Amino acid sequence: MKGSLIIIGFFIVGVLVGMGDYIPSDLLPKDLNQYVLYTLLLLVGITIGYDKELLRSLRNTNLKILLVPIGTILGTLLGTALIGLFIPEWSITECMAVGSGFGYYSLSSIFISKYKGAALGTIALMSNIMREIFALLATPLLVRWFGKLSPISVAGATSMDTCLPIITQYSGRDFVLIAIAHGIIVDLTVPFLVTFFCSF
Amino acid sequence: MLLGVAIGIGVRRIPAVRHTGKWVSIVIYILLFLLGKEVGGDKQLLASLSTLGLQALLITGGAVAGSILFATFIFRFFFEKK
Repeated sequence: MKGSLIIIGFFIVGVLVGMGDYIPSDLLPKDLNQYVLYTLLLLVGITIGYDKELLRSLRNTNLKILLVPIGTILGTLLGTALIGLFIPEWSITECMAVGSGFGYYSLSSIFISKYKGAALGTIALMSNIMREIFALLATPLLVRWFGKLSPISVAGATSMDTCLPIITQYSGRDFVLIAIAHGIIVDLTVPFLVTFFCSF
Repeated sequence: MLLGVAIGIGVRRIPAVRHTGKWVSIVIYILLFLLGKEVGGDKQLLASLSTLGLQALLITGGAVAGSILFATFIFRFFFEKK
């Protein structure tokens, strides 16, 4: 939760600075975003490659566990595609790109604002934060109504970090490994799916 | 990013690299600040913030409903009778 507050904090400070026009736009290099984004991608790659445990746990997951992230991804894409039909401002694939954040709001909103502009980027930021908050708040009810996998699916990429404690508490210890594997796999798909749906 | 993965595997022996996660967060903060600055500097975008919020909520609703649907099925058919 502290992490989300910091993230929103930086965004809001940015909004205020933009409104006040404190930093003249000539001061910042035009392609700054672009280079910072490349740096980010490189760093994300390094963390994935560096983490021995992460790659090993990916190799050890059995096929049944794989069904859970696949379900999350298909369900999210289907749901957002349906919503996309009803939002005239944005195309179906743009809505699917927002959904492909799977709660990983920081990375997905940055990608989307780069490819589709700040408006859809802001939607991605808000939508994915909402997803995380919903997962945190609704987990007890989700377990009761829809079974022990539903909070993992709803949490998306955050099932391995922010939402893990509450999932452990309500779905039980048997589902911790599934939640972590699910989080890692969904997390890895974010950059690929987001850029893929932005390319239309 | 793939280049990064390769580098990450290569530099496993260097302990200093363990802090890359922290650097990722810092870079993300910078980018979010820049995104915020772009939104704040754009009067039209600022005025439509509530519409964007509503659209974000709708998209979240779709994503969550779809996830729950698939998770329920997978739970019923593959996990319940253990």
